[in-house]
Amino acid sequence: MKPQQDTSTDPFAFAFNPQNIENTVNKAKNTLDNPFIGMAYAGLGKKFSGIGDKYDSFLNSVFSSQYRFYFDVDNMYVVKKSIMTLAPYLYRGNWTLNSEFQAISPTENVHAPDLYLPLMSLVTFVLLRCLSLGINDKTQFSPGYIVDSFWKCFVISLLEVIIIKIVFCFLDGIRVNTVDLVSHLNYRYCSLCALMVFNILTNGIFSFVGTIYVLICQAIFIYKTLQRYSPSHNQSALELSSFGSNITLVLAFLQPACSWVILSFGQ
Amino acid sequence: MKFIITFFWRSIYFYSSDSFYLIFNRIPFQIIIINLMQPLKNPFGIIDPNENPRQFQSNPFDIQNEDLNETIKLGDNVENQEEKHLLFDSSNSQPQESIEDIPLLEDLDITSPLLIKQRILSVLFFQKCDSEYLEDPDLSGPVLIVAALGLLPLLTGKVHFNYIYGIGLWGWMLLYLLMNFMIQQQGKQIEFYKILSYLGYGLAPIVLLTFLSVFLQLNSSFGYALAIVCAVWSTASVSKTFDTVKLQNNYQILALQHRRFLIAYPLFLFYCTFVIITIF
Repeated sequence: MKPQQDTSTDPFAFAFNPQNIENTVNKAKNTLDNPFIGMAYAGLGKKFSGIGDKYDSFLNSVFSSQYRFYFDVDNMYVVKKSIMTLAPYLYRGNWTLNSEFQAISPTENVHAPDLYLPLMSLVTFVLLRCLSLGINDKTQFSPGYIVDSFWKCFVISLLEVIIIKIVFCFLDGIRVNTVDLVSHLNYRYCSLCALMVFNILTNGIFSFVGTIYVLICQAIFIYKTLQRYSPSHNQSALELSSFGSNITLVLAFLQPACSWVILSFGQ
Repeated sequence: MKFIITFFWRSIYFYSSDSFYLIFNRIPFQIIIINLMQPLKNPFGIIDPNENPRQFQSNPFDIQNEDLNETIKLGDNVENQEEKHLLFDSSNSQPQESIEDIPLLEDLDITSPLLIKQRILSVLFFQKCDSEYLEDPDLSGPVLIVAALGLLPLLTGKVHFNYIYGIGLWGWMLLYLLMNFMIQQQGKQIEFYKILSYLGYGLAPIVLLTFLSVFLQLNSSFGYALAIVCAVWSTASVSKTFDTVKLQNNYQILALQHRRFLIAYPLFLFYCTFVIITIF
């Protein structure tokens, strides 16, 4: 008879030894034939089958919640809002919603916040930056530039949201929905996209004038959108501080500053 | 002297050629190599005192058991001993099933390569794809397309596997969220992997663009025009499938006609990123 390899010296003792397979197979058969173990496995199976239904219902609840109103956009809404970002002086009067505590779809009211346009304009802006870099200076472009641009925009937007949220908290505890704030502050990518297209086509004094115009438009846009949250509009405030009413004017300059930082970084 | 110099230069030419290593096939080199590799035969030094030297078998199809000193001849352990003669008689092949010749892949019930080719062509030429594509989309086609998309730029010196993976992953997730939020009907969704397969098949025109980028310089006005055409081509084919997608168990067409441009624009951006990577 062939001697087996001694397990104490064999470094591969854990390996599959075909001479002893019958022991393992018989053990498995005996456990599966045992009815108690069969019941236990059936219980586990019922637990796993319930997870699929929970997953489905969770997804349904997420996509049917109030956040779907941020994506309920229309062609006309997109056109109107993009014109608003480029020429906000055309839309005079107060930019208020009828009810501030209910979710309003953007198709009903042009001044309602949405997340479709900021997201799309952010991605378009990143792609246009890569395009301008590729056209002007091909050797500097690498696909990592896409990731770099995206992260810079993301970080600056995040800082802006945090700053404005903190400032609003200091002022009479004004409560603003964070998602609304994110949508309001990121409409500037729409005007920046137009600016990038303009800069690709022109150069020199025209691009400089274009940047100044776009930054001023962004300031006006933010001033008018944040006015609906300022204390002078809220009737519940007992003391109307002049500092509070003018804070939106100061905050309006934060947006063009961040846009200038985005435009100057990189390249 | 001249002969020595020419011999020297010619030998250097031989040393740098691809066929230099064929000299190791010669017998003296083989003797050296075999003798040097003897220590690797039994690295752990396990000695079997009962080991006999191997006997060479006369018929390689026989099973030889050295311990019991027996051989199982070819055909001894066949179940049906009546058909044993078929093992040795090659003239009696299996009878033909019928007059028509069934193709091999259909005979083996392998239809996926044909389906993949059909789906890719339906994407490229805006044809109607098979009905199973909308209900049960597969991922093997997109895997092939993505592999081609990653391997073709290697011929131009670009290694973009990580960017394709990253952009594909993030674009897939964001498009999944976006599409499902834009469907303003409760209880209906597009599933996760379906979007991946639709997007993957839509990359077929971009594979053509990368194939052209190997031969042409696409950083020119012609290249930009071609790139835009390919991106629009991809988005048109994929938005067509999104318009007629069947959701889970509800066989209803999504009411997205009035938002067709808004659905197509994110897809256009997704394919534009791949296009920018190939051009620049």
